[in-house]
Amino acid sequence: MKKTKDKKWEHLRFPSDRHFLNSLSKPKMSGNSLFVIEKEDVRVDLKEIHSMGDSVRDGGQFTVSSGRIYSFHDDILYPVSGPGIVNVTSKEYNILVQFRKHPENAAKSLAIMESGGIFDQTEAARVRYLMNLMKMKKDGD
Amino acid sequence: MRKLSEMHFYLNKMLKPDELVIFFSDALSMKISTLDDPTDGAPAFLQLTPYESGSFPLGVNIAWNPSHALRASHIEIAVRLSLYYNALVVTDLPDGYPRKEDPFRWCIAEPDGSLSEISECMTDEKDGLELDETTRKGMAENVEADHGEIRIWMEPDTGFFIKMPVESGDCVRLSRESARKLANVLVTMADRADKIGGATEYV
Repeated sequence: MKKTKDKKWEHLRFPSDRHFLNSLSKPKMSGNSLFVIEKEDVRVDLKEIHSMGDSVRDGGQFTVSSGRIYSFHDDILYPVSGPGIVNVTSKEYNILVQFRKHPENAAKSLAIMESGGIFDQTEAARVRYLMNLMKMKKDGD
Repeated sequence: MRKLSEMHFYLNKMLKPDELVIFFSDALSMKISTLDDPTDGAPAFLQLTPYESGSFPLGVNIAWNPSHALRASHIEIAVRLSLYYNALVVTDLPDGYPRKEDPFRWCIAEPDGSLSEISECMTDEKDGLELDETTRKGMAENVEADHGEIRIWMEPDTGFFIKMPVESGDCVRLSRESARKLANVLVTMADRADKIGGATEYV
């Protein structure tokens, strides 16, 4: 079926910086979804939401052709799930915020939390993966 | 349902790490470790994040080993923090609350014991947290009964609602302590309704 252009959702804006690894800010206990893809990929998704509107919407969520799902607050989109989106807990997000400012402290905090069983293996591996990505992005700048 | 093993708060005042370690050790009944004072074998870890912008200069993350059960919810701890430090405390909305996953919606606890749902200020996003007062809405409160919870909430335009979700359909039995707690909650909510001129049509 051919999708028609729908301008109803053209007011929706690009997601907040807090979802991007190089500009993390405020964690929550739930809803910490992070992009591990480039902003250019998100712009493509946004363009699709603007042009396809209701035809890619189900209730309060949009599912675009990349497989990524977005929701929105007022007129700001935020990532929910899908390829290139990682959901983290607030303790993980907090370590990543710390890593941005004081990498040594982040590594130390992570080690203490792992030894106390506060981080399980999956969480610790996810944080290390994200820290590596942050480092690579920083080194690439 | 996800087992709670972490809580996150934002406070509108800076506090000393030592004070918070004592508070959380008591609230969680666990030994607390910090980056500056790691304690061998402590099952909980406290992380503090200062913010230079926004109205909440202190981010507080407390996480613990999931094998340690905790009875208190993050909302109860937020209320305790707020009362104890006479501070505004922001945290996530309660579990099961609509749009809890929305990254811009929060719950704020105030020293008078009130809880509100509130959104972030979206016009000038900063690193730190800034709330939009025009979006504030009062929220429900829960009272523990002998076999379940009594949920009370106010909808300012309509009135007070009391829900007793007992599956059997039986009456809810209250102890003296629970009855007093229920009465106190109702009086607090009625006082709040007076302030905002709400809940005048139905009782």
